[in-house]
Amino acid sequence: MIRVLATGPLTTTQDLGRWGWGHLGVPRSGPADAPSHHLANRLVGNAVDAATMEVLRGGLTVEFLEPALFAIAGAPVGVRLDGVPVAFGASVWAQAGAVLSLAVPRFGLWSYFAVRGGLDVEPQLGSRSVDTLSGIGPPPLAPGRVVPIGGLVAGPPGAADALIGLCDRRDIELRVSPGPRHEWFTRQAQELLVTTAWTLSTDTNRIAARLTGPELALVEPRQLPTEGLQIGSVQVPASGQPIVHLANHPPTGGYPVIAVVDESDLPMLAQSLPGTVVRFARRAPGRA
Amino acid sequence: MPDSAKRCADVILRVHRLARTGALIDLGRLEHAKMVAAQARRVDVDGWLWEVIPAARTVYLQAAPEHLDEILARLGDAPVEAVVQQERRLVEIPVRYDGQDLDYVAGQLRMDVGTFVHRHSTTEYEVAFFGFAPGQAFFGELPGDLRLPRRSVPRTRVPSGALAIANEFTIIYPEQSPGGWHLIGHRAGPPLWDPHADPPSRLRIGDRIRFRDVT
Repeated sequence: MIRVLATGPLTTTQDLGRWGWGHLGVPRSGPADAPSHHLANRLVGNAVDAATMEVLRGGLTVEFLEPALFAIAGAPVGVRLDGVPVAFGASVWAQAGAVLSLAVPRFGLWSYFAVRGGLDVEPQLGSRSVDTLSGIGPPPLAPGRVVPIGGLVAGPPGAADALIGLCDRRDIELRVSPGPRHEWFTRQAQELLVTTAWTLSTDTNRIAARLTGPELALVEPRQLPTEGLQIGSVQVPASGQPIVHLANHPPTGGYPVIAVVDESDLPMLAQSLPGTVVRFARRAPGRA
Repeated sequence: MPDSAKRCADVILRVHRLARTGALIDLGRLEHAKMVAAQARRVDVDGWLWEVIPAARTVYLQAAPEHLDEILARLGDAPVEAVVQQERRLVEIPVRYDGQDLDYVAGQLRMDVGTFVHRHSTTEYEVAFFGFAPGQAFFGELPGDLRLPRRSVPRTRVPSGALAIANEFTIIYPEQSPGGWHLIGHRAGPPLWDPHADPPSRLRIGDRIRFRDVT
């Protein structure tokens, strides 16, 4: 078991999320940066669906109540075990009673703390993910909480990745293909989407990244009947300021989607700090 | 041509591919969205589809890219007909017609409140789809003379359990939330959604619904 002693702004448990519940209005949820969550699990030999702790901007301190193998991946952060610096992005052994603490990441938002066996919090609708949009799943972690370690082990601990894919970038480019309501927007809006240096707003979270820039206008005012949303959808509400949907997006939306970001580019967006410049690059419709 | 002689390809207006794993199918009518969603589940014999999300005029599908093309091809050939997978249950939902917009709604529809309540509570509805929040069912369809567009200014706070209408639908807000629908009453019985229960929703798509007036 692990006891939480302190958390930063937000620490939640995350696994692969709730698949197949969208028709009942349930968000999928899951890690904001899935590749980093997978890496943390692989480093300790966990099954892919083992739950990790997703830590926003560091600040997590936990005490191991039993010996355990752990790893930290995602936003690069100083890691100490009983005050001694230990490796980030590698598996580390902790004795019972050892205290692990994470500093604040040098860049990036989300770090992932995996323990061999996975975190055995109570699943809800088949998942241990905290759903920060609708509140399904266990509550966010708070000091005093004791979390059991489970048995979701797949094999021996894996090797560290040479390239973890997360760089300190203040200017990112996301590949987009046209969204289902691309034609609802003016030609000018369609061009502005891919020529503007958008700014990532402070109002950005696991649900969506909000961008500020010129207003994207519709050809004519019209209401969209609610429709299913793909992760990465660039949705334009009445304000004309685009929203890019991330891991905890609602399964349906009522505003037109002008474009869809490639899923493989979303972790980079999810990890970007407010103020980052975001550009969209057009690609051929439909296919990867 | 009657619907019964058509294939889904005949009623699908357009298929939008979304990134690698998604497809949004445009349909002209709610009825077609329900049938196409049911057929999508029927042709998915191998369980490839990760999500099937019907809505008012669309069906959203998600699957691994190598399976999505195959599913869409099979779906195009499927007949446009209701899939009888389950007995269509009749569920009665007790409600109190005491919403703060009731007078306004009746006024806009040029009828007295009693007539509106009688019409609303004697119409049979169907769970058309879910959306907006977990377990929030959209009950369709309101008779044409009971329809109003959404409020121009949404409320920042609508209480949990509020019974509300807009356009062709009635909803019950599962949780307190912002909302732009007209409040006509509230649920008088137990909640319809409980994420700790199995199944979490007391309602299923296709259920027949009657609102019993217990005001």
